[in-house]
Amino acid sequence: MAKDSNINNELDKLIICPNCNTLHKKIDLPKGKSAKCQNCGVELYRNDGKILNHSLALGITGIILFILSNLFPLIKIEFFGHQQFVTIPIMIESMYEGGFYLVATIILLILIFIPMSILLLYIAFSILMLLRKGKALSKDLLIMLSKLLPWNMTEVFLLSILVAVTKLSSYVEIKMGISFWSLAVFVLLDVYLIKHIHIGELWDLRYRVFHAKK
Amino acid sequence: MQKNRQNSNTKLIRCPVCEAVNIDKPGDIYCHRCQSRIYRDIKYGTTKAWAYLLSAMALYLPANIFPIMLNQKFSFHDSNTIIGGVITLWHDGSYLVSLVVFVASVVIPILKFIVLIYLLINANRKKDKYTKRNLHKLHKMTEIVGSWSMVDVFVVALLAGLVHMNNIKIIAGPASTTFVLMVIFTMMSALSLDTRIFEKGREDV
Repeated sequence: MAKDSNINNELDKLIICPNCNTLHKKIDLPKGKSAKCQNCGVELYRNDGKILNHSLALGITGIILFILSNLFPLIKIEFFGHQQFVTIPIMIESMYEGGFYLVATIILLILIFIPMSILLLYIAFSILMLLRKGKALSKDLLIMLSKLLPWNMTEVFLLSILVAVTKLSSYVEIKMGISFWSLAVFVLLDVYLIKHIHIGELWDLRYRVFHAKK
Repeated sequence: MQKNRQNSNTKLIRCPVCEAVNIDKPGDIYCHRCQSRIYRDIKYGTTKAWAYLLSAMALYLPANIFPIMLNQKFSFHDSNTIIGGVITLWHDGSYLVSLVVFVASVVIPILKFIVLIYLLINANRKKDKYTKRNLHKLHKMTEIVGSWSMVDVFVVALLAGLVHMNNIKIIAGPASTTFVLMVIFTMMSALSLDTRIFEKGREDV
């Protein structure tokens, strides 16, 4: 058993590049610096001393922006004196009414359920780490997080809004709603959270919180 | 443990869930950090990847034949396929947007099919270090690029939610269902592909 944990400690000093699968040995970095893969230049890990504060703050901001983006109109159009607007729930509802149950469900999962869960997982994990509690729970949270991350597509949705607007722009007058702007900021936060906070760093953080003092 | 690092025959693999480095050995491997089963069987992942890929390719055909969007203006009905939508945008003068839609809904899916087939076929061949690296890079690329195909579906849903007056309506077409499934299946195919297959030659698979 003791031998096993020795090997595991030794293994934790290594990292395999997620892009090109080259093996690297981790080194201690000065604060704020990042380590890149020697072979392909992809960022492997960083020494972000405030990673916990960052993920908590961004998570909470993200939740607020996300709720805003769901409540208010994304796009407004004016059409022979008629005003119409679309929000994310209306969009899903109209697909549902049109009989496209599967599409509506998938969009519901991708645009509401998954981003919301990812943010809540980040917040819950950060709070647990700050309180130094929940050794088993924090592990489950991280596992869930890494399973959900590939299905996050908010940035794709932002692009889709722009495409939809161009499609309509020659026929009607268009105004962007509040939700569009909050969604745009949300996507920036989301990209930062997902692309810059590596899942491996969160695992290292968890390890430091629960094992460092022993 | 000192030996392990120097011995190049000891294969190290990355846990797909938590990215921890683990020692590769035959049979079931449980990650030492997150305790999730890394891979059950090397062939299992490949078979799953093939199954998802073939379903996605089968769904891609109806997704392009049937209309993805129906316009109803008074008594005038008009339907748009995916390619039709791209052409309309081009004629309207929105070249950049037309190009974006074309890349997202035509180029990316086809590229993903080709790359995934290439990866799955090449898995069993003998290969040198550089080919292995490129296979890993290609696989990573398909994972990243996959979700961008959803653009067309989101656009249709947005327009259907936005334009629904008595006389003028935009309704989603049957292709939206097949297209959405196609995107999900290609993503699942890339996710279920076991990257360990790139490390092995013909003899030990």
